Amino acid sequence: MSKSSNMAVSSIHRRGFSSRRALYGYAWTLPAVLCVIFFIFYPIFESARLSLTDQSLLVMETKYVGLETYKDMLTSEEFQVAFKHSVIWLIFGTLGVFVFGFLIGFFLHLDFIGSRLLTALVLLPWVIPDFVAATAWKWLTVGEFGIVSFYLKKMGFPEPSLLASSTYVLPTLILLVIWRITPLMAILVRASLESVPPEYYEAAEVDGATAWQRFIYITIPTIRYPLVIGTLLTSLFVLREFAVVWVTTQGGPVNYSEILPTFIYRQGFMYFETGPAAASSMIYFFFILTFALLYLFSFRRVWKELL
Amino acid sequence: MENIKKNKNIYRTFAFWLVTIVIAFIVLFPVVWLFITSFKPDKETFMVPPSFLPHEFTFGIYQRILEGGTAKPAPWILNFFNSLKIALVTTVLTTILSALAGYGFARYRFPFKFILLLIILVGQMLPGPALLVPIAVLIENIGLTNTHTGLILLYTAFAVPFTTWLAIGNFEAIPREIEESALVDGCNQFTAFIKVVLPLSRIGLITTAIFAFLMSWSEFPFALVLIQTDEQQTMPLAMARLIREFNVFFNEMGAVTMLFTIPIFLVFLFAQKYFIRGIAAGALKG
Repeated sequence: MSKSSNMAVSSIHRRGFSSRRALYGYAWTLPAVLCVIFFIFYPIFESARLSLTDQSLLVMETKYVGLETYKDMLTSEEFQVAFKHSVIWLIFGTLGVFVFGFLIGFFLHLDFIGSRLLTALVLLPWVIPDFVAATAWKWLTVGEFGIVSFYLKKMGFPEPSLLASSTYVLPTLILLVIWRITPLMAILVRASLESVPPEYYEAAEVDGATAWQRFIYITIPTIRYPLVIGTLLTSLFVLREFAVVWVTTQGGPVNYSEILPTFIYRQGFMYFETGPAAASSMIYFFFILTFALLYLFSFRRVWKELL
Repeated sequence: MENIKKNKNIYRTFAFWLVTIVIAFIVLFPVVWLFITSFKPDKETFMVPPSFLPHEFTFGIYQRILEGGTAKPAPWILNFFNSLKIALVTTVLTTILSALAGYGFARYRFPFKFILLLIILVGQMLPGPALLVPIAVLIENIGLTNTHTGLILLYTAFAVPFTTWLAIGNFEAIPREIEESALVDGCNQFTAFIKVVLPLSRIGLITTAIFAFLMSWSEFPFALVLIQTDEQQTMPLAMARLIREFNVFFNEMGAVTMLFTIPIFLVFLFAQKYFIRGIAAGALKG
């Protein structure tokens, strides 16, 4: 008995694979991995297959049409509008989250009375569910009795009911997403600032560096890795938002706030056009993948040295 | 000289308070405003100009909700318990699966380990909305449409990548010597894990549980696609449906929102420390 457990101990340190140890490794990890494969990866392949068909739940027959569905989607005006909105959504949402997240995170890092309480409060928009955030914002800007609309109207703003305005609906929803996801970035920035060793600052101060120089030459280089990864993470959260639009406007008025997730939902579950919905999903999927890879590639200098 | 320094300090304190108040206001106002509205009688919600505090303070809206709500086929309380059940089961499943996987990845070497890790990592990045269609088809094919089981399995699958990532980091921080001495004392790997490793990593487990709970408690798109009957609806669904009705009462919306958000506030107050640490750890490592 004791002999076999000693063997187990020594094999923990062994570098090669032993078949029994390998089996144990699979036994521990496979339940989770299989769950992910079955519910996340298999659907992607299923989606890829469906996207090559013209399946519609309203029509009995389904046939493979190759890339025809993709062509239909890419040339349809509704898709192009949703795609354009998604690009705007991604760029301004992520930029906004980065700027405000960095400023607030930096402020939270400064040690002052109430900074801990404020840190807890700031997380609120991110802790509440997205559709609660959406409800709260809708109530601010609905008709004439929403409090923000009311004061906007009083100040002579041309279209005070923001979510019903073709001009302002998308900017308003992007602001809502920024409001919602900024806390995540702020907490990340604060946590990474806290990890900068104080000796760095002390040494710089001895050398006579000003606060600004310390910020540029010590703070930024030290936290650039969490900044780069944190921005990617928040951008993925921005791209994942669906409820924020669906609960407030359902993509309207007309399609002025339609983004790809709402477009996909509409195609698949309101028009029952499964093939086109799957093709749009695949395009959205590649859009996200391309964005993430381009992003990682352009910041490769930052994260490569950490590998 | 002393005076100037003192003055400078006062300005500094004042500036900090000002910024604090501005940030707190922007962060809190939309939610607080909804909360205040939940104590207003119906007619006051359509008042122009809107008044900040209710003229006529009432708990009536909360009472109305507990009795069933306006024009709602299933009572709110049923939706509430649907959500609670789904969130709790998901939390348990996620915690178990990710603790096992995290331990396996942290302690064992085996062929294709890198591939399995990659699957977990990419699984964390994929956007749910892009998978709505194929997942609806999948759930339909395995006969779990309109069931809570379907949602639970799905939520677990979507929570597991992130929590496994957290768990790997947690278990790697625990020195192997501790388990080794347990093994010498006659435990096998599994009992050593249960008796020695898990108690040492309880902070990580709590973080995992919180994430799984919050995620499944507030999930909306998949529930929207998979749940068809009023009796099976979760809170987010029932609420989203209410807000799309033409004459939505925002005081009622506010009250439901508050009832729905209270468990989150409780979890958050109880575990704020773990929460902040979890976010930081997950992102900095991931």
